[in-house]
Amino acid sequence: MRLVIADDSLIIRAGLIKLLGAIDTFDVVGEAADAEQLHRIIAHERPDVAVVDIRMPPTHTDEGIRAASRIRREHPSVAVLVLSQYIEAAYAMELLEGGSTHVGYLLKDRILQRATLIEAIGRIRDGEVVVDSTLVDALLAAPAVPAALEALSEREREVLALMAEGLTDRGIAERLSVSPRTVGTHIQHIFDRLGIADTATDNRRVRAVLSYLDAI
Amino acid sequence: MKARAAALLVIAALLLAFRIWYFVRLGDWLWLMLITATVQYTVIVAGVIATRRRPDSRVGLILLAWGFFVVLRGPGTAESGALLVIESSLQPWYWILLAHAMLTYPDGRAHTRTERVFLLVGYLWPLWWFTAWLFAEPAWLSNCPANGCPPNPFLIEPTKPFVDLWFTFNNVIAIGIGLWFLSLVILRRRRMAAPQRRSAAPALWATGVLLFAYLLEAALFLFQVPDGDLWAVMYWTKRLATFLVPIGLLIALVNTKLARADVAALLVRLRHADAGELQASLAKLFRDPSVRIVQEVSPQEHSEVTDLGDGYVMLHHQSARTEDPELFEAGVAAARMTIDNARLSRQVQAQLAEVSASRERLVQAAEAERKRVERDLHDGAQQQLIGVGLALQTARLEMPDSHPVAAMLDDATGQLRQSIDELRSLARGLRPAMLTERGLATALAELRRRSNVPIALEVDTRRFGEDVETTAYFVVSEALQNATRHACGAHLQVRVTFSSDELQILVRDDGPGGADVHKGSGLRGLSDRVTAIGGTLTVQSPPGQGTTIEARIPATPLTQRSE
Repeated sequence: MRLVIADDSLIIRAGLIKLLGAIDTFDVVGEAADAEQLHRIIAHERPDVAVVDIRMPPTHTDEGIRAASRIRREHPSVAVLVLSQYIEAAYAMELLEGGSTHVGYLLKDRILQRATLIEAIGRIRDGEVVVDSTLVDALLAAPAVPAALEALSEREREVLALMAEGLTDRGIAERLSVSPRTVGTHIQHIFDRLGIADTATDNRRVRAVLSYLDAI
Repeated sequence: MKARAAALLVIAALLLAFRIWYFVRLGDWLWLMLITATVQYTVIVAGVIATRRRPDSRVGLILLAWGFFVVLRGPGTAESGALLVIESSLQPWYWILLAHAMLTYPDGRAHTRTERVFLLVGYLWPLWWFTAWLFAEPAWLSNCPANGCPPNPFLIEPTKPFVDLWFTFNNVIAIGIGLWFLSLVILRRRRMAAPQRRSAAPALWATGVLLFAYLLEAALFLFQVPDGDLWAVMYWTKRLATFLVPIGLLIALVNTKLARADVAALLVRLRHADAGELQASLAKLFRDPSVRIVQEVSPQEHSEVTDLGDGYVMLHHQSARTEDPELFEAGVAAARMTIDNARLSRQVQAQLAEVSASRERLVQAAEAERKRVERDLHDGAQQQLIGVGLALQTARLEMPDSHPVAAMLDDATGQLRQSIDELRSLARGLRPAMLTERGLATALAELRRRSNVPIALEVDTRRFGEDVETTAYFVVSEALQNATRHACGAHLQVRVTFSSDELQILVRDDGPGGADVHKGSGLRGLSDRVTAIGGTLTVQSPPGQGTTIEARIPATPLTQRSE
């Protein structure tokens, strides 16, 4: 798997290259210190995945999110994982609006949990959406049930939250200790109750997640 | 002072009563005596009022002297020749005292050498009369009662031709003195300022009438006009004039008294007056349209300069000060107070502006500092800690899982992640990054996501200045903290709306209420923050009815979306 890494911090960049480069199946083919450089390298190298820090020059705010949207638009084959010091639902939604597959949004300190990082990179390369679990936890902890989701049962909301986290049917089944069949039934109910028409399965999943993020 | 005035009035009344009794006994008509007494008493009352209201002026004293002079003269002349001679000799004083009062109104003082000479001549005139008595039988110079006059004790040798000559001479002198007085009054009037002339007008009219009676009398004597209508005219004009003099002076006094009452009204009116209004008010008070209030003295003709403090002076006619010095002092004091008030009020305004500006600077500095620390935590400390973590991870890759150091490295990484987590929430508490990057609506939505209390949120999505957004954010977050702490199980309603030029932040909970902005340091600090940028914070928290916090902050929406 060919990777490009973008971070304005030399220490982080070097550390990530070393850490990810140590994995046999990963091949770091380029590094960038800002968004402009990142776009040039991506256009040139066409990597499988770009790991992008959210805060980069010049404004040090949300360059990573905007870079991710542009990459997904210009190079749909490149998956983007955005790393951030803090997880904000607003950014998660912006990221998903830009293109609802092949993206991930993780807390930056996940890079100290090698397994989580590697798994997330793999999943977004496969087209999934990965959102940091802290966001999902916060969403689940929210005491009020948003009006838009009132039609769902508690179990269905749980399943929807896990979908938002980017888990597959199987992953959800494992997390909830139920059969994938049961998960499938829940998901079908969710689509029905949120009024998401049957067009293409992938899009329906994403739209369900979007309406979830939108609601909370 | 009051007792003395009352005593004077009582004594005058007793003397008058005696005088009426004395002359009625001698055969005078009672009604005529009563009219005369009323006139004389009026003069004494006017004199008492004048001395009390205008202690600085001698006019009152002169009037009193005249009053007591006319009350005292007469009785005893039928019995004592000496008294008759003295009374008769002193009779020019009747005119001279009146002339003195009128000529020197309003201050009762002679101003020029001529005036002083005139008064001296007038008061010494009785000596001339006395010389006639040395050669005259009483009946030649006085109207004797039916039973005859007492003998003249000063008589040397009765000389009828000398007395006749003296009499003619005396009438010429009388006319001369009258004309002299007329010229002096005209001169004095000319020296008066217009306002002074106005208030002295009643006295001047009385003077005119009196002078007419006086000159008429002198002329009648001079030309030895036989008893007839002209004498009657003279007699009644003289009575009228002696009544008019105190009335005229009283009117002038009442004028001044009314002006006094104006000072009180002036004070009320001047509380918020500017220099222009002050000038108009003082001009009206002093009846002097030439009054000017200026900051730089440019002397004008006939004007005096009075300092009003704080660099202001008043230009005015001398008469404003001399006509009624007390009124003048009061008016000037009121003006000084007004100017001083304005100066103090300006000072307080300036200090207040300075204080609120410095408070705003302090709040802004604190805000900038929080922002800087937040940045430093994210981009500095946190970044470095992650760097360290990465170094640990790479080291960990170098060794097999079974190595004893591997477990230690894993442990260290775990602790490091915990530190990073703590740093993150610390930075967020200082200032949520979303506030700067996405604005109030997004930051408040994030706040709601992290809250344990259900929040109904309705937020205007426009962007505002950083001060405004930050303050609004902390109003909500502080209210939220309050609700979490005190209002268990409460629901929070947050509404942020913008209308015309202010952002209104309304936070309402359905908790137990009873919050006090003066007790909790949180609410207090919030109030400080809001007022520092020119807003207001109100907290309503009646026990048992929840708490409503409302902040209103002056704001302008930014036209450009800052991305």
